[in-house]
Amino acid sequence: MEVVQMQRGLVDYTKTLFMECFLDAQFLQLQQLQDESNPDFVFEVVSLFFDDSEKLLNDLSMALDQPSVDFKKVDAHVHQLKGSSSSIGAQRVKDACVTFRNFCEEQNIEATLRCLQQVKHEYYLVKNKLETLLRLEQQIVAAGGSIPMIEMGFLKTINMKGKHDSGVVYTVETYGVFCDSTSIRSL
Amino acid sequence: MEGHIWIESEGLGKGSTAIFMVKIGSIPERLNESKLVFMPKVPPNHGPTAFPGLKVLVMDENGVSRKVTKGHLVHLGCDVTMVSSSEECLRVASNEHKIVFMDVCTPGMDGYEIAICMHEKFTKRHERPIIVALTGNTDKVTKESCMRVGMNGVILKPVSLDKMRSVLSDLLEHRVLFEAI
Repeated sequence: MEVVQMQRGLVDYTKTLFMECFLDAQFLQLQQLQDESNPDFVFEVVSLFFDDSEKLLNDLSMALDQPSVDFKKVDAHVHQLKGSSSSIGAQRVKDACVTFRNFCEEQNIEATLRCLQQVKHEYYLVKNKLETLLRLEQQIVAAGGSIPMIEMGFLKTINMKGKHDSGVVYTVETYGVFCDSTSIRSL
Repeated sequence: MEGHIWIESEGLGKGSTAIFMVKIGSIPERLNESKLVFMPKVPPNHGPTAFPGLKVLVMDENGVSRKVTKGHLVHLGCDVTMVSSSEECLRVASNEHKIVFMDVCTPGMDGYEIAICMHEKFTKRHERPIIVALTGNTDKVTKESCMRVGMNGVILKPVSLDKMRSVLSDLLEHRVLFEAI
């Protein structure tokens, strides 16, 4: 397969991950931090996320399996998982953690068990997606190509700049570096 | 939507702003809020774009979050030391560290107490590093607690590269940075 085709495939795949909310803007930040002096940054952070998360999920299963559940401990673990998933941009996992923490506050055993299942589900989904993404990147690099930077528009802050003749002007913060101008039309 | 879109940029590597105008039926109330508040964009010719050799200490219990914060700072040229506990932080902090970033949203870890201890360790203001809280909590209580214990600033996580750059620039210039919460 040609490098250009692989690059296009990677860009399309990454875009679907964003559109389906598996990843958010924070993931693009990681890619911006990867450079010649730090060529494996994304791989290292993602791997650390996997190791950390799997340990936390195990700890959570054990904590919720106790005859008398220590919700403070459970909450502490979920807090960590929320922090890591937020740092790498694993949006769905982070959102599941937020819900989880709410039920921890209520000390609701049934609901927290359901939340654990939900978090596990989201984690394994995003793990699969990230592994696929990294594999695609490795294939491109192995074939001598470079990893294309993705630019995405995110409506993260909506600022009213002021009134204009035809209506209100909004500004949208974008992330990433432009690689070609045609992609902005697909937003 | 009968609109048009254009892009403004200050140059290569400086990011871009896409501006679009479209006709929308009615504007929902909530669009008038800014849920996440970013620091105002620093114009490119004010302030450095890198901070070579700036010694920074980062305290964060979470390994992933720590690595990402370090990534941002190293990318900006900083000399970063990482610690994962308050004891380590107090032990390692020296007057060579210009800025200390502390994650204060970990339940059970008292970032506030460390700030007080730091004030005790470095009694002379010019020797004391700038102490900044990194938090995911967007509430006034967190911000007020930080101010009360003498922290020099509060930054909301997650942090982007652009934001980290302007944070460092602001801190070095003004020694204070409390983000609007």
